[in-house]
Amino acid sequence: MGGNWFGGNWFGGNWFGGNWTGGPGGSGAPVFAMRADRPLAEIAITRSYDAKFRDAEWDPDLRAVTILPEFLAQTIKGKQWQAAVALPPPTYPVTAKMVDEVLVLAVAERPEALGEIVEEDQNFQLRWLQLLNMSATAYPHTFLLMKIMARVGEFAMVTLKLQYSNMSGAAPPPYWYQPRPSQVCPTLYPPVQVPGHPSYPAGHALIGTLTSECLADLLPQYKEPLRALAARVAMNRVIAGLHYREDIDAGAKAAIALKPFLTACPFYAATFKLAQAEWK
Amino acid sequence: MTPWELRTDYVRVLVQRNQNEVLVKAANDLLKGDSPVGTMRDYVRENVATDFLIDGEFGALPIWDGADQRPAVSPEDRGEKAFSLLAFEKSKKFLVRAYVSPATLSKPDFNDGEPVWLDSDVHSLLAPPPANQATGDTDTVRQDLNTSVLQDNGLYGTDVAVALVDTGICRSHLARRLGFNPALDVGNSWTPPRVATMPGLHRIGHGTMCAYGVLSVAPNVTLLDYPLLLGRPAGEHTVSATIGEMMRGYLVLIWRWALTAVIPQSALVVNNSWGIFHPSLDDFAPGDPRRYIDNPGHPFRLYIALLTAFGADVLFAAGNCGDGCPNAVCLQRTAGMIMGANAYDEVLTLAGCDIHDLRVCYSSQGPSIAGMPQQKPDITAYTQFLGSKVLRGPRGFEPDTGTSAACAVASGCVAALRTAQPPTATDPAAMIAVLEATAHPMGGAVPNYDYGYGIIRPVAAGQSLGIIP
Repeated sequence: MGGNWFGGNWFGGNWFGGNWTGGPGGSGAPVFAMRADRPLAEIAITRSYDAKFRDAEWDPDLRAVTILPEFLAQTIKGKQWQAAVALPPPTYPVTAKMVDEVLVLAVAERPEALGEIVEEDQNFQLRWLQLLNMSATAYPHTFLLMKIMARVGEFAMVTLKLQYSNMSGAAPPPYWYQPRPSQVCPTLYPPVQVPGHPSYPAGHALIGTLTSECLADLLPQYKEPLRALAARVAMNRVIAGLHYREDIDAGAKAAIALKPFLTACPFYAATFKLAQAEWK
Repeated sequence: MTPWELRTDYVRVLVQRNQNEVLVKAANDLLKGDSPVGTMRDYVRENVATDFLIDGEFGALPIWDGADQRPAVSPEDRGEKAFSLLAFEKSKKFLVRAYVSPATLSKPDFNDGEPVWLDSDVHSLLAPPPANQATGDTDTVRQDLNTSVLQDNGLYGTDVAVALVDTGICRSHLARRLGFNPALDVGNSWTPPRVATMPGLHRIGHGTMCAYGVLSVAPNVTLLDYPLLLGRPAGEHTVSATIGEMMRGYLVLIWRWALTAVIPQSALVVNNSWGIFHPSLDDFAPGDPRRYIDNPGHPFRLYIALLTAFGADVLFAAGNCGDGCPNAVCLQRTAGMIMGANAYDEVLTLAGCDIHDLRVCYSSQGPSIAGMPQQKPDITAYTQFLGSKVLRGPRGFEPDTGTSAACAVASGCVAALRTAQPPTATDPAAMIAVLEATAHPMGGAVPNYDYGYGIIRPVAAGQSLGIIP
């Protein structure tokens, strides 16, 4: 239990949303041994019956999950987040032009982009930590804030992906969704595992844009590099053959539209305030 | 605001607008090296809609009386007359970059009926073919071109500027490979605003390969570094440059070469080893007047036409989608793959051959895409030789390759000829005619779609021009 409870391998091979790991002080599943012949437990010590599990000791992965009911309860101008996002439906059937664009990028850009694509496949928020020169230890509240963004982002992504089913087709069941480019054209052969969810909208674009836009509120001086990083991570998923261009535009658009619903959450606002103090 | 903050899907376009003070100032901001964001702020805000967003960082580009209106000018008109005709204040029309929904774009009254064109993605033509073996080296290319005769007659490219519109130049690499430090005019180079590296200090790559090709024929040219392929829209996901980015750089060139004549050399050659990879990258359907790839009325052509009218020689690579071994980016398509500016009348379009005078199998062939001048390429130059050593492969250094390298070698030839034959004596159209007439015919009847008029022969061209006995 602990850092990896929510998805070490449960959610399909270390899911890229909330359950990314963050280096020292973050989550992870270390093992601590105790020798059997002379166990620590046999040593008599004075116990601390008034010990406390402090707030700072919470696994940020798990703590962040509690944003969801707040997020779902938010209404702005009488609308809930899903109504406010209102993405256009994906283009279906997928067109030759959409696939050709991805194919051209696959052969023209993938060799150069491969390192980034692989690195960003899972735990892509590490790129944000690197950009900001931060760690969970040095900036625990900012780290938690990012976890909150990621949790809302992955929830919104799954909800939106489920929303676009059976486009121009017979009513469900069975349900079907926008195919990945490599399902239309298998020779796109993505260099990383094709995720177990449909193509539209793009999760990396959604969560990456949400992360950058929220962090830009916290650290306005980093606004440009944050946006550049989000755009890069999103585009790399197209180069990888995992998304059409319209998927990443839609993901980014959704992030912009849902951000006010997140920032209005009391848990987010309180964490944001604590995070601000870390950067003074 | 970013394009994806629009409520709809979007297409990136260049939108024609009538002159106003803001657009004139934004165009001048570009020349002064200032960001046009502040100048454009109110204009962007006043024009924004749920499905329309102007890119304030792009600023505005003059197109004077419109994309299809060409002033009658000649190379002698550089300077005062050019300025009196084309000062930005005299431009009645400007282009701004905008993101707009496809539905709104299709309305007949969009933009008050003023024209709109696609701002399409473009790429450097870096294209290692499947079997990437050198057929010779720089010396064999020089032997084939007979550069010793050029140099015996003083044709080193002295007093000629060559603008490399590419991914940027690494001057120190060139110095190492050539054994001399090539001349680079930093002041007359131009770097897109969002690019951090400086002229002559860019990452070793395609642009450096092309500069090497030029210098291997014309060592005394002055390089102008225009890494326009590194420029990209600030608020977009795209990984590539766009035609709008190219137009910004070309406007700077027009300004410096034609209007203010601050480029001091007597001739200017512009090397363009880039293009659009595949028709799928054009967002509009065939026949749509907003297209780029097969539209001779796209405003980029106005910039090319102006630059050539004022005496600059503009060379383009044909592309690497030839029947035989098309580059992977062609997606097996080989017909009609000379597209966009690479097929304009005003430019010299280069096919590639190896040092044995055989067309390299990836060199794009004519006819050009329907709608553009059909007889392309114009001539052929050498490629596939071990030259710049900018790329290292598993078996050692890779050769300079693609029609990119051929274009650069041809630019070097033109620059050498321009040493003694400025555009005031032989304008770019006449220079193209001489190069075609003196090319070594190849491939049967000429012109043909493989070699054009044949393989470039700079010595024969020099003799035809009367600058080589």
